[in-house]
Amino acid sequence: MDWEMFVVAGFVFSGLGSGAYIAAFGCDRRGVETAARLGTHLSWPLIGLSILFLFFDSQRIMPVFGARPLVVFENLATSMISIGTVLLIVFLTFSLLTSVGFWRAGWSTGVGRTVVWYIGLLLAVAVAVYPGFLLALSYGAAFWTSPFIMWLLAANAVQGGIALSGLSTTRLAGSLFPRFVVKDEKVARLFERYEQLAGVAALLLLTAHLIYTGFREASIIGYSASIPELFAGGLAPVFWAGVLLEFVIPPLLGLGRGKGVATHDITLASFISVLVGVFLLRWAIVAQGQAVVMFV
Amino acid sequence: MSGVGVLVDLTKCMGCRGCQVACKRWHDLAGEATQFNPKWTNPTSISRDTWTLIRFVEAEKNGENVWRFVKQQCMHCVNPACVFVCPTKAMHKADNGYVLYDENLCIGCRYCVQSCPFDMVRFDYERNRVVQKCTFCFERIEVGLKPACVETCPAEALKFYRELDELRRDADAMKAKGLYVYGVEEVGGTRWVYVSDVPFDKLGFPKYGVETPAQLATGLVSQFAAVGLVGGLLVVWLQKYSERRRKKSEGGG
Repeated sequence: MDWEMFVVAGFVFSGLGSGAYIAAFGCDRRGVETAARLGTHLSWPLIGLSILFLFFDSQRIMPVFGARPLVVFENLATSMISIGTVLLIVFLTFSLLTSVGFWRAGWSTGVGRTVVWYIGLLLAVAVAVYPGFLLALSYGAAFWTSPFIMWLLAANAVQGGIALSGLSTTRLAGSLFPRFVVKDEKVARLFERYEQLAGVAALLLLTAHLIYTGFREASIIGYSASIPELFAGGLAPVFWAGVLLEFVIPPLLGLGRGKGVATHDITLASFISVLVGVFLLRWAIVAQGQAVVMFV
Repeated sequence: MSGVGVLVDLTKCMGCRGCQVACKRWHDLAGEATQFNPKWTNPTSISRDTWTLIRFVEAEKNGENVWRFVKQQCMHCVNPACVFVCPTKAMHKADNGYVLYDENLCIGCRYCVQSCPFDMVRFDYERNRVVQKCTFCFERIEVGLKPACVETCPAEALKFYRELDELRRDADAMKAKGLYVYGVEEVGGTRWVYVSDVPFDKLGFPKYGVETPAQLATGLVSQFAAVGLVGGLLVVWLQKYSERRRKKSEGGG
């Protein structure tokens, strides 16, 4: 396998960073300022981490530091790595500006602010779909080549972003970051509702992706190799753990509400479950695409 | 179409692996320890030190089992996916159509490895961290020689062409005689074209369509937009529907 944990981590952090920004945008529209602030403050460090992981995954970083420092931008026309690098850097700048400008410098009104929000949102969506494009345009991996994978990873990113921002409604945030606590129970329920809606979308897209790539792979190599491998092969524990933690456990935990378990604990467990699920599912997708050899 | 090409006639190959040895000698590639395995192919896969390989395949022809020996190497696609995705243009197509690699530009992202439709690109993690693959022996071709593997083939199963059009004409003629041809249409065409008396899917060749990486990308972008549009409409409809239900229940209550 050529792309391993650094690439997975890069994709997880870019997903969470863009998702946190999208969640922050939604919170701002609904007037939940504390959560919006948390979302934008989380966004740019996560994108920064993503860039760092992807950078250090490169096995020959000398040309980047050497005579041609802009070498990675050489193929902006067709390479998703060039395009993605630009996207990540521009979005990092934008989310940093939002974070500092809106909440530190107190830019709270005006058309300019709205424009910045919307441009940031557009960039966040682009960053959320970009890993999907990067994978889908790899001709050699039928498991990645689907029009659903971009939206699947975007929905997965939004779900993760909402879960991350939603931590502001938990006791954990109260003890660690008292400035970012949202004490409104209604807001906590709203976070959970939107996280579950994003989860439903991600689950539908995952199903569509598996069906599509199953057929595509069967037409190329004569049988569907990835689906049995993913369901029952070496990657099955990662895949099923991801599916359970991201899609099944959070709604099940919700059923425990009002049955003697503290609401705060349920919310915290549910959001942490989603975050671990996001990581595992991305790991399974990145690894499975490399597991099937096309010319055997 | 201009540029060089090689026609691999699988009906002539006898599996001597002279091409494997010639490639290693010309490029000074290290030998690899061989091993017993049920597939007979040795080494078992293309690697940093093995740029071409004879794969032993037992296939069925007219109800009988027959051996066929499939030479594998970089196919030097006419529209190479590795060139399409390379962020630094380290992977590039030279004038005669060879797909080559400039290690001074490579940042080691391995996107080319992921993108090769035939899994023929390897990254050397242990020695000098460079991409390793068949270079079409371009340095030999430029001085009027043939690639080392073609030069050495005792069965004349490999035929070198200075013009790809000429190769394709010969391939068409063989197809007209009832043989199977691979590489004229697949992924937009390759410079290594195969002819066989056994269907290629029985020899483990992937069934690709004619679409090039650029066409694949265009198709995916439009399908991505269509999925987004349908999803967006569904979300709007769901929102309206839940609003209507909410209003109804409020009115009823």
